[in-house]
Amino acid sequence: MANGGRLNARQNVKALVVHALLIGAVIYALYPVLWVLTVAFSRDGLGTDGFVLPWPRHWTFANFAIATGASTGKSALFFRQLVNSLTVSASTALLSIAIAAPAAYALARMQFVGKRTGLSGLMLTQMFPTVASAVPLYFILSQLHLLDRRAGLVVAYSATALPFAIFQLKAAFEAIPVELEEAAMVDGATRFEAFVRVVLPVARPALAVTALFAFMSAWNEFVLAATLMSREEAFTLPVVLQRFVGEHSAAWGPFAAGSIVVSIPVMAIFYIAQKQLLSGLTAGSVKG
Amino acid sequence: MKAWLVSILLVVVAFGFVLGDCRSTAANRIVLWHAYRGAEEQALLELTARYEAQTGTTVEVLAVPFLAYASKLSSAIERDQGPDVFIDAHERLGSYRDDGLVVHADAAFPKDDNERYDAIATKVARDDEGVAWGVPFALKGVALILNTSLVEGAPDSIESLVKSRNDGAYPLAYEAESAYVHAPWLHAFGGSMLGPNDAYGFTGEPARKSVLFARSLVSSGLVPASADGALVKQLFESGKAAAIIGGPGLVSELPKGLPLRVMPLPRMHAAASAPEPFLTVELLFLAPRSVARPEVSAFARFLASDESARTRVRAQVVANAATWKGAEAIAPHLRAFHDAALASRPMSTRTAMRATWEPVEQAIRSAMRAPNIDTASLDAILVESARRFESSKPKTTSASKARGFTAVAVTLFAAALVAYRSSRPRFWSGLRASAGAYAYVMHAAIAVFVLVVLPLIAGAVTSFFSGPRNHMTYAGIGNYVDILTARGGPLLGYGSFYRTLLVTIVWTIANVTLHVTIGLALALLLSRPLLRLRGLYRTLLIVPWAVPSYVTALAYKGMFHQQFGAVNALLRKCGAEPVSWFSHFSTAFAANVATNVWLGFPFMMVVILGALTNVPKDVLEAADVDGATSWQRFRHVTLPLLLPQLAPAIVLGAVWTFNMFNVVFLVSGGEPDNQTDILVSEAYRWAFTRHAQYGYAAAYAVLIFGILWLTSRLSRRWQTEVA
Amino acid sequence: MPSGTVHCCEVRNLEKAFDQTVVLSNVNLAMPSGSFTVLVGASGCGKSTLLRTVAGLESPTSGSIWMGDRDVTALPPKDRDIAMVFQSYALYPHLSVRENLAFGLKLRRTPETEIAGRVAEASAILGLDALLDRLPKQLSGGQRQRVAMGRAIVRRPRMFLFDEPLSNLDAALRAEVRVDIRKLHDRMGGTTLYVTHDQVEAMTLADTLCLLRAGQIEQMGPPLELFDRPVSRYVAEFLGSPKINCLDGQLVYTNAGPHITIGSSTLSVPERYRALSPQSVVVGLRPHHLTPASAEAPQFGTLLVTFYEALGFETYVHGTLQGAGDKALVIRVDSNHRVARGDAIAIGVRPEHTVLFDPKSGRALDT
Repeated sequence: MANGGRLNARQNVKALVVHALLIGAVIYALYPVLWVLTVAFSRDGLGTDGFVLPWPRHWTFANFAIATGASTGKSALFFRQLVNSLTVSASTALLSIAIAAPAAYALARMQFVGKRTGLSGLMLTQMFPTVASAVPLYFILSQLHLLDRRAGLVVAYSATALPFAIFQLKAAFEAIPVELEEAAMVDGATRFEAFVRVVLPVARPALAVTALFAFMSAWNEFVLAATLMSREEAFTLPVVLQRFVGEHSAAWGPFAAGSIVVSIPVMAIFYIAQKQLLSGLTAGSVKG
Repeated sequence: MKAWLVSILLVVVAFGFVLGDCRSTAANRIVLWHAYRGAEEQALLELTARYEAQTGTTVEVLAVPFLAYASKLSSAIERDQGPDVFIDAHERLGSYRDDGLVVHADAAFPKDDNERYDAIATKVARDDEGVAWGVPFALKGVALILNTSLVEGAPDSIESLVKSRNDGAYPLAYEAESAYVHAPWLHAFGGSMLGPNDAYGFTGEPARKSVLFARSLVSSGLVPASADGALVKQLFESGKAAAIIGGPGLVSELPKGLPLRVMPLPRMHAAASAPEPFLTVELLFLAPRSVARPEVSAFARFLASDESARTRVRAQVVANAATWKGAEAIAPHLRAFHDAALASRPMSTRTAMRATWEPVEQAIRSAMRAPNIDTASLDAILVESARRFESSKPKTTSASKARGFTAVAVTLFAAALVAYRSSRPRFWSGLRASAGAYAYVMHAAIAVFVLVVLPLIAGAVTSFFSGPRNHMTYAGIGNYVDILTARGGPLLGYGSFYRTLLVTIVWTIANVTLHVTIGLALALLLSRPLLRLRGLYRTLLIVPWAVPSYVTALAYKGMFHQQFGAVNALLRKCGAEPVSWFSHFSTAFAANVATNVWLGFPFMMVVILGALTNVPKDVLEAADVDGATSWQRFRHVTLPLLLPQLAPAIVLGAVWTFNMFNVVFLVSGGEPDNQTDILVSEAYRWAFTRHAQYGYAAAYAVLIFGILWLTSRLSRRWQTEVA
Repeated sequence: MPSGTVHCCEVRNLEKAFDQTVVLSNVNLAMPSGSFTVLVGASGCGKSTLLRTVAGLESPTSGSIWMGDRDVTALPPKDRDIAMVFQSYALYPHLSVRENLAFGLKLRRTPETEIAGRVAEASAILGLDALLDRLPKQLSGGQRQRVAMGRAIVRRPRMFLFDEPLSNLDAALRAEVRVDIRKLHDRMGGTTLYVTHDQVEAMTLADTLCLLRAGQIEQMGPPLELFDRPVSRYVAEFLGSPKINCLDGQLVYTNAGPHITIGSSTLSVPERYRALSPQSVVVGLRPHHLTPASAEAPQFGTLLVTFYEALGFETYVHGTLQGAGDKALVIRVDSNHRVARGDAIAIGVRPEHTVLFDPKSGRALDT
């Protein structure tokens, strides 16, 4: 009994330390965001007092009204742009997974001519800074008749997200025991069926992480979106947000408020999907 | 659960696409682009609506973020898909003419209209031959903004303003290290940033005097040091600054109800002439393909007309002279800005103008921050800044005889590669056996090739050219030679390729190490069994990833401000000396790293959390049974099982960090003295601030690519040797 | 078909090489319908590769595989009408036990009612009824193994393939499941090809035992034939526990006729070796054939006991053969036979239990 009690006490101390560390990390993560929140909710911007613990002196929602277009009667347009953002980002997530997963599977499991070249080529694309490639991309998309269409944006984002998605999924597929596919093939599946009905479901957490990554990369991008789209109704939220930054001055209040609005859906998605993102599904499949 | 999530996604996607792409169909429409917001945008929309009602023409107005404006303009106009009319600052005219983005606008601005606009605006809109390149629209420039509850009356000079006592508030706050706001002092002492024949102007007596004047303001403690625009605004809003220097845009962002008064900059006792701020005239530009359409010119004329000006003057300083003389009820501060504008100096339209900002600001910063300064050291600073301007000039590379040599070499190389490959015995049979696999990789290969590789190749080809975008000249490997010889400067001098490379390597190692360490530590903590509030912690810890990085990077910049930043406030509370973060390489670099680590650890954490689920529990239990301590278990079981899964994220993370320019841009901005610049931010500077040398920037990009490629080759060889 | 009989599965002249390494060569194997064939061999002998080639998971470098009168060499696994139980079980982790069982049937578009019936039947046979809605990770090792078998039997395939299915179970369970597998085979009436490295499994399960060595079939036949009439010293040593005793001896002819000398010990020569000329031989003597000397098993030497293993039902006595250069030897005695360290036991063997091998080639000498 006494021994058990001591063990419990030790565990409690351990738990306490863990929580202390995590709370420390949360403070580190949230502190700069507190600034953003303060600016967003302040009537008079960020004062010069209270710099250590920023807090609005005069609360207001006016910045949110401006950011969401409510103050200029454009909230319908804002909603439209929110839907654009969601549509484009979700489509990017789905499309990049749909393209990356088969390619990653082949790279993980099959031997073919050009595999090594392809893999290193994929890595090479990430090494090249995109300083001078926006104009050619615009040209290509206009040749493909994808300018000024959200589909064009989705295609461009997906292609950009592909290399990482392929690498990430390839590693995940390699971690899945080959026997699972072999069992499926003996059970009557073609290779493709085994991939779709066994490998993909088992790789769910990796697919979800990859999809989240693609979603995020599309969700926050604005230069390409602003360049490719030529109607306000087709803009995504980051473009709208970026308009609060001018050459010589910026409207920090609405900009901060808009940033918060933009980040809420992402956090909601993460909160809901985190079980999917992080559950171990390979456990129990094969006896290690 | 998953099915549920996917179906929501699909519904969103379907719903979004049902709304359809809003593509214009109107045949005779006029497209207008601008970067206005707030009241100026409202006024513009009101006018276009009126024009549509009057003429039945369809006008499409598009507000483009300033940061994407130039790139969108050049991409679109080159493809004949841009606006018919766009509003932009006159000083960009030079490069727009170079790039062929604009044409003369005589139809929209006939000579008869000359008297309609302020003389200063007319002069700017026409070139020396009298050809109009745009229609004068609005004036932008800075003036003195006073808080009338802190300052009584109008100060008659800068000196007297600064000397006035006002309850512990700064008598004056302005962006002391910005060349744009410093320019009035320079002009007052008879200088100019860009002399005749694109000669560098920040030299000699005027530059020296202007710098000493600004230094005296700051060193007396009456003007805050190192203030950026956001801080100046904050100080003014909170009553901590009695007067600031700013433009009409700044005033419109100030909270309503602040008692303020605007006036032109008062004269300076120290100088013979009055301080002249820079003037920007916003012009209506016509795109080349639209100049032949009379209705476009008519529309531009309408927007710039006196009648329209009566609407616009509620929101901006219109360039129409009559409006100001008329009996309009005009906000007093706008009238004051107009007065100030008339006494301002229009910015040069030369392309070289853009290349002066960086060296001038460099000189101002160095001089302002030096603890002591004498004539010799000041001269040294000015000489160095002039040297930088000269070295950033495009070199006139003679078109090499080997024109086309590069193309031939590339083709030959590719052909040799294919020939070599296909000569190997099992190539063709292997190709047949690979057919099945190709069905899986085809889509990805095509998508990546067309949308990622082709643009990169196009970019790489640019590196063999120099000059403006639409008439580049072949320069062979001239750009590369220039970069690799540090443009003739010392090989390890500031801004040289090699020094920047060193910084980039340290930057990458520091960031990736911290990303992985913090991400791993948090992931391990979060994956402990029986942890409470796990979901909440996880969600809060990805916040840095979720909030757009542009705004948080700027929050970080604010946190590191010497006088007002939270970091120094904390240091002071702990009794430590505050640090001038951006004055030293090490601290500025640390600030950049702190920001980038903050931005990047959540991603690594999520990746590691996912990978941890693939570490089989029984192996960990086996280690426990074997008597491993938790550290040993981690070191010898978890980590080896984790690393192969993390390899792609770590390698790509390193590559991305190597090329992560926006944190460097937004936080330290390369300070001090471009020392914290990394290769890619250097490339961006060449492309966008220094004479728009895209070829040069592209050569940087190719070199960066080469370095990363070489590193990966070497590390792979090293790995196989070890294994 | 030269012989006119149609086998369920036949492997002809199979060869398999990975890059330059030859894993299987010249393998010929015929499995009649309803037979239970066990592939056995040391690890790395190619037995799993052979099984996987039959399954269609590997394609042979040359040679062919026939099922019935069809050449299936080029067919993918799904078209071979086989089911396989993997060493790791390879249960689909995202599917419940029921779905795991039904997976193959669903792929073949079997009607729902039939699927339900077959799953119920299989789960009844294997006692999985209570587990049907669990996920694999909620099962014990033995339960997973049963699910893996269930997944094979619901399919009612022409042929079952087992790849070391018991190696992850503990000893007691292994013996139990071993019996179950054989019963199941008899009940289902399919043809079974079974890979193991465990010679007890091999001996107890097989109709036909096929011993592979370095990619080739060393010997194939009924288990007892391999045990009693091994074609080589390798086979003799592989089967049987404790291992067969192999002693260097001489086949000599004296006036008393042929006999074998091992050091100072002498052994009479079985009938079937009488035609051999005098030569050096390796004498194989199985421990359980070596008994205390008796009328049927005349003494040929004396064992000096160094230690013994009393298993309860029998006792293995380790010692050295006196006068034979201290050759180590193991014999089996009844458990009621008391032995102690240092004892000297007179040992004998029935002449017909002696097997002789060529010392150089290791081949048996009676062929």
